[in-house]
Amino acid sequence: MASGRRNVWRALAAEPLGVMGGAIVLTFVVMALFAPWLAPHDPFKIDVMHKFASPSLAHWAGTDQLGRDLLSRIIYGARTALGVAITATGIAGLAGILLGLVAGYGPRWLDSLLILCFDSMTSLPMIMFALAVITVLGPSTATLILVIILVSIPGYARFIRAQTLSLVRSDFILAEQAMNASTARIILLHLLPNVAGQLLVVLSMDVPVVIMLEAGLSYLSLGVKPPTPSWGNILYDGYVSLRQSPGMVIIAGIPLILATLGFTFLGEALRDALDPRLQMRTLT
Amino acid sequence: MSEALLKVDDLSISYASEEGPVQALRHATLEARAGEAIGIVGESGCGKSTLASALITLLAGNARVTSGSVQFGGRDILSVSEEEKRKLRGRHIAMIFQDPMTSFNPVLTIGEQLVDFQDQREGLSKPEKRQQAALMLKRVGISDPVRCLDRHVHELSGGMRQRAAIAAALLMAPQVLVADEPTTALDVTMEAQIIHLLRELRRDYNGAVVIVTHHLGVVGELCDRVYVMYAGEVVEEGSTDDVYHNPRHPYTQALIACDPANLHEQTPVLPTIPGRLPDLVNPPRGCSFAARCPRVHERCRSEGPDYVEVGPRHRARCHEARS
Amino acid sequence: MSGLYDVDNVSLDLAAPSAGLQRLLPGSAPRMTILSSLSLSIGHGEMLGLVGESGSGKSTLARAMMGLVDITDGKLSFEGRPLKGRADFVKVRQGAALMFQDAVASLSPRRKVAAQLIEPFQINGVPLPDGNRAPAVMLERVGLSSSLGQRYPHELSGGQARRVSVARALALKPKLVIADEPTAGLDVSVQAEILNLMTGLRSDMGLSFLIITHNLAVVRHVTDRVAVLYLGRMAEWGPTREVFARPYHPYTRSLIAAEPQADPRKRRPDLALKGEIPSVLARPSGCEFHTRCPIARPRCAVEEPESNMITPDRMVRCHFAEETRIETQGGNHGT
Repeated sequence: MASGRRNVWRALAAEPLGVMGGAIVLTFVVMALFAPWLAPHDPFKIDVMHKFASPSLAHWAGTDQLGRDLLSRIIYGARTALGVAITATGIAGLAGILLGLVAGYGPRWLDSLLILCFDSMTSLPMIMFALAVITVLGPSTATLILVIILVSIPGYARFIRAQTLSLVRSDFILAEQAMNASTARIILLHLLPNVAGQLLVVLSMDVPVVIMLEAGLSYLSLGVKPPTPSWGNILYDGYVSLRQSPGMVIIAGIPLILATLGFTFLGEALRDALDPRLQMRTLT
Repeated sequence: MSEALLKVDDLSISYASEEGPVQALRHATLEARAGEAIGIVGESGCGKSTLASALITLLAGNARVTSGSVQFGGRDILSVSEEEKRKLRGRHIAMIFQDPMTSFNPVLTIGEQLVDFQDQREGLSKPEKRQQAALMLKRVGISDPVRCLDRHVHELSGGMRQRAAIAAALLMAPQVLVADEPTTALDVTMEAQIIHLLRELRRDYNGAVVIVTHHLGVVGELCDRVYVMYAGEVVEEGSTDDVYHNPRHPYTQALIACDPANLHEQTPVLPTIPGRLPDLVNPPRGCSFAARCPRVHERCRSEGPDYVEVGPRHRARCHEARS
Repeated sequence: MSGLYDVDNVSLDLAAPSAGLQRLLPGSAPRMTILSSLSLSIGHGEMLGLVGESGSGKSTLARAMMGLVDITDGKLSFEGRPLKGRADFVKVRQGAALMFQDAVASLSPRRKVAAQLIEPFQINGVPLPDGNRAPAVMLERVGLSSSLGQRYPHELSGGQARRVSVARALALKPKLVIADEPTAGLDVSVQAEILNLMTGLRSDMGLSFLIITHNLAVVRHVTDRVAVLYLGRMAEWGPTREVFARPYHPYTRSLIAAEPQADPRKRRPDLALKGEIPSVLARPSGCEFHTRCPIARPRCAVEEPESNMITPDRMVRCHFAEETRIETQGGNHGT
């Protein structure tokens, strides 16, 4: 019998779209991690003499309005994008799991209280809430991450709570109770592994949403502050100089599109691969 | 004797798997005559479900017919087009499943579905079809059929659901009715009621009934003839009375001996069948029961037994069937 | 007389599932009685069968005995000690184990079998009896290969999963095992193997068993005493052999007659028990069985029958138990 984990990998490898998504995501991760080595130029180095240069051997993707190398800025932008997206979804996911499990398995009053909090959070229009927080704390990468975390937690927590509720009445949880298992043990050893996989799928599908959000807020000058390279900033610069260099907008858009597709494909493949019972059915 | 309505001839079916083709059904031969109820009995992995799905032409996607045919109405129904198969099912060959929930769509009422099932019946208006549906529900013992028509399947109790599923199967007066474990999901009293109902319905139904089950009692109560299956093969067939009172295959003998319902005295240790099913990817060269058989010979391990006639329409796949 | 586990006059009510606005009106939520004045005693080393149709409250009783559901009224006691609060049930769960009807579903789906087998020790702070070998030893004791420990629950067959749950139930050397439908969904030969395993363990370890099932053939062969439950109330109990030979309650008689016979020569043309078990929301007045009873008289719809000790070890809750007893003893009690 193959171990469960190896089966997940095998099932994942069997999906061509999943492999493609994985490859794209991996490329971006490598870009983010090794940006200083991969970038052909310093992304901050201004060279006004060569502004709005078309793609050439020296500048594969051309230069922007200040003559900075666009390819290098996009590579460093991956660092910003993934840094924000993975930190934010990661922290929001962890908080969501914890709150969702407590709401789903804990006492009724605590569940009601948490649901009330989640509902009040979700009833605020997201953009208004983001603007309010940014106005108070000032635009910065840290504020951006905080906003994304606060906005995402209720959704994740509700998702985990629903999953938990569908499990609390099941036989294996009753069996644990009949063996004197503590609440912490049931939550951590038996509920968590059964709900976390599904959330991982949701999270990987949400990473591109957060990347877009980062780009969008940065575009509106509410997120990552220039000159830090961010895909949103590049897009904004491209928009401002649309007349002089129409190609810049397109070049800044490509990584956004690729990242969205990559994470979505990976998420969908993960969803199929993570369900061990689904695998059994395809085998027999 | 009447002609066979449904005939399975030397049918072999295998399923694709990672280890190679699983030979789930090997050279099965069976016939069901009009007005006759036959039972297909055996334990998990014996191939009875594969045989049942072949009878209603609903084989799984990874199944492959490697030999033989299912003859109905003068042709092999496994090789006709999907469209033809769809027409056969329901109209000529109907099925009752173990879980009646699967027979009905949860969002439609029973009545809507029973009317839908009659879509191939021409010259009947919708109210007439509904009338037919109500009559059939009454026929299967539902006391308030008109109210039942307006209900959804989850609003019915387990016994009622199985009755409604039987009504749905019989609605088009099929020539062959296949029931796969029709009472397994029910408890004793509901089981007795469904058995009673099926027996009653048989009286004025002149088609063939095929009961697939692991429960010897259900076959004993309902069937005229029985086919005992083991490891993908039909190992013994005969009238229920012959097979139950004079079983000739050692597997049939062991199966009957194991059933606690057959033991009259309380025994501290119940009889079992030691050993395991053979690997169906590489079935044994000789008799498939050889590894577990108490009367095994050298010959059994090398040479697969053919059918041995032991009485009128009673035969067993065992070298020793006559002794 | 106190046994290993005593259930004394226990009742259990639950709030009925009510729809929409009804829930908002205080005091109007209907209660449904799942168990009603139920008494039962399991002796040391005894194998007791509990039978009845689905909806009779069998599984609820099992859960209440393990403290997984709270009882509304009555008294439970284990080894003579009354069970009052959470702390008492912690002790019960060390001395008694529950086996679920669906063995695969009672195992945590994403943990390997070996890890689940040693859970009772970890949870209750008991050192592992054989160290690292503990899961292998436990699997071998129930006749399984130790390599099965590396599998996940969904990779087990029905019979294997059942053996794993027997192994886990026996981990802490309990005095009582409550087995809910231990043979449901198993093939006949595998069913016999599981029952033999249970009876073998009983004589080796002096275990008591409460076997909850609707399979009368199982009860007849392995139990010493049998209790018949109908709609949350005890209809009859007594020594298995006697109850099967001379059932006094009409419900017990109907249940026995309903069993399918694996013999075409013994077919019964008539139907032993018509209709279905009533809903707990519409509990019949008087004797709850009167709506389906073949011998019901007007009195049965009005007056609740008393628990009637026919002999010191047989109880029947029927107005006409005494008449039935005289009838059956006076002549044809053959089967």
